[in-house]
Amino acid sequence: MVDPLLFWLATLVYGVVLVYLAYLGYKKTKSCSDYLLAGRNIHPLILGFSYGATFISTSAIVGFGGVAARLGMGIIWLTMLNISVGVLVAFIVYGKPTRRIGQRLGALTFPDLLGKVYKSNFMQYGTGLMILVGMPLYSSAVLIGGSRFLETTLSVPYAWAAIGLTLVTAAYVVTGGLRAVMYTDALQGAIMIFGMSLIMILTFVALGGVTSSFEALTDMSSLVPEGLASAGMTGWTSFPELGSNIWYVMVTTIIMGVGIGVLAQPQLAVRFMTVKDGRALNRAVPLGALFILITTGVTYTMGPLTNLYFYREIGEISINHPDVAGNVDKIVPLFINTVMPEWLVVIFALVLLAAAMSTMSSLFHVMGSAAGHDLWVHMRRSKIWPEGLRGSDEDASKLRVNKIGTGVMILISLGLAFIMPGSIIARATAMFMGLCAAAFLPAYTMAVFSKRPSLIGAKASLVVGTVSWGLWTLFVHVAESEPLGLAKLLTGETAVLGFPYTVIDSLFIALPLSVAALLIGTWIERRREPVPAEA
Amino acid sequence: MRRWAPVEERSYMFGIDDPWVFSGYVLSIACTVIAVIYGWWKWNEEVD
Repeated sequence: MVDPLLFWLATLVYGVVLVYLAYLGYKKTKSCSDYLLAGRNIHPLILGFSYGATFISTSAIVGFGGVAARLGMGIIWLTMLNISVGVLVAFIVYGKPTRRIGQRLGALTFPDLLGKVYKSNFMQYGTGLMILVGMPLYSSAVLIGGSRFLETTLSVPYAWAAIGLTLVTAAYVVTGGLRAVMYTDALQGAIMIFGMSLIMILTFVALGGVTSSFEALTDMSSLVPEGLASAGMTGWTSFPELGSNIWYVMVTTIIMGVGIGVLAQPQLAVRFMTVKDGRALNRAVPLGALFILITTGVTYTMGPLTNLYFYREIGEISINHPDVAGNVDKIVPLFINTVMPEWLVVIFALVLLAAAMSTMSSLFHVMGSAAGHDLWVHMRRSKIWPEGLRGSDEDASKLRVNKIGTGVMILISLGLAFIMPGSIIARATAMFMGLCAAAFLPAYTMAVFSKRPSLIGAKASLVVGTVSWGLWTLFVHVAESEPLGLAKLLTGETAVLGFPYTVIDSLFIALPLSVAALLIGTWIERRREPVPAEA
Repeated sequence: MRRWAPVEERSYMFGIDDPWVFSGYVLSIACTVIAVIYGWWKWNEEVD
């Protein structure tokens, strides 16, 4: 536990700067375009920080850091994919056409972009609904992570931690929109880079240097618990046995699932539309890559090394530490609290607070814009609503609707944080990313690259990707089907298929089916098109 | 199940004896270097 006085002093300084940046965002937010896309003129450095800070949440640092402590450094391939796919491909390949098409069509949100490219209300409503249904699970998971951290670090009751964290974040998201979110993201991202860099340096100092600590950890492979060894784990500095249970989990869920899923996340894709030209996207690439390398690279290296430290100190590997009690989420905070000087523990506390708030604020904003801009602004015209509720087409009215939508979705996320189990953090993150990739990625790819995007193909892809991901999650992928319990209820089995299907992530089944549906739908649409008459 | 040779027979790269893990680090750093060079190279290039 950190020194409360030191922590609150640091938090006060952090809070003052945060309020100032949020106020700047609020002052510059006058229209719907300001609220939803930060006026389309965000500075490249702010974009780089904001993209990284939104991408990396407490889940990545605490949750996946704990997974690395348990399963080893093979997870470093996720860092490689996060940089190559999540930054290089995302910015250079997807970012530029997304920004260009978004500006040409006047799209203000991710569902709005798909709706306008395909000239389809179904695509806009469908994508908006998916965000409203799926994203609260992720935002609540991040909120739970931040609140649990405050609870254990400062002995603040969980309920007050969740309410306080939500209120502070909600204040600047609702009033200042995406501009306030991105300005504060920049501060939070800077804290994360600074804190994680120091933690890596002091970790190697504590363990006696880079090469000697890796060598010592390599030589600990005989200490891998029997349960993990029989499931394919070979050591903390080596990859799991090819085709083993742990290999499938690490490759299909952790590395590929999260690594590919990042491409179609609405809260990240919308950031490409916040800059005024493609040059700004180019300039944001180096910072985005450095941010991911430092934050995730440090986490996935430090995690396995905690085993070496605890083994030297108490003769037990991390997962067997008495204070960890089998919960991998406790390993990274325990290591930091034990090894680092108090001032760095306080900085780490701020790093986690910043990571939670930056991701939460972006998710709140995307959910609010989906509720306000993508659904209500269009659906309000229906005669089922009373005249007084419908509002008008004026910009001020739409802006108000978006603020109300954001407030409502924040309340829903807060409510879920009291219902969902605490162990859901890393699982909900991976599930959300997989769902986004299966449901959105093929249609989004066609939207930004095809000169003749097919509406039938896009609709088929959205539906098939969502349904197949849901069925595989509910009935086959045992990590979800077992706790959800529907397969057991209907069939008497926790999963309807056997190994290796039970450990293959839903994304690996749903994404190819979604792509196939897109291709078949496109082929059907092309066949229906009239043949042009010969001249 | 274990595929590793005894400690004295292994070849280490910065203390890591699995080329898959080592190459994960190398590629992560290489991708970052590519990103930095790309950003520097395209810093003033007009796009769109």
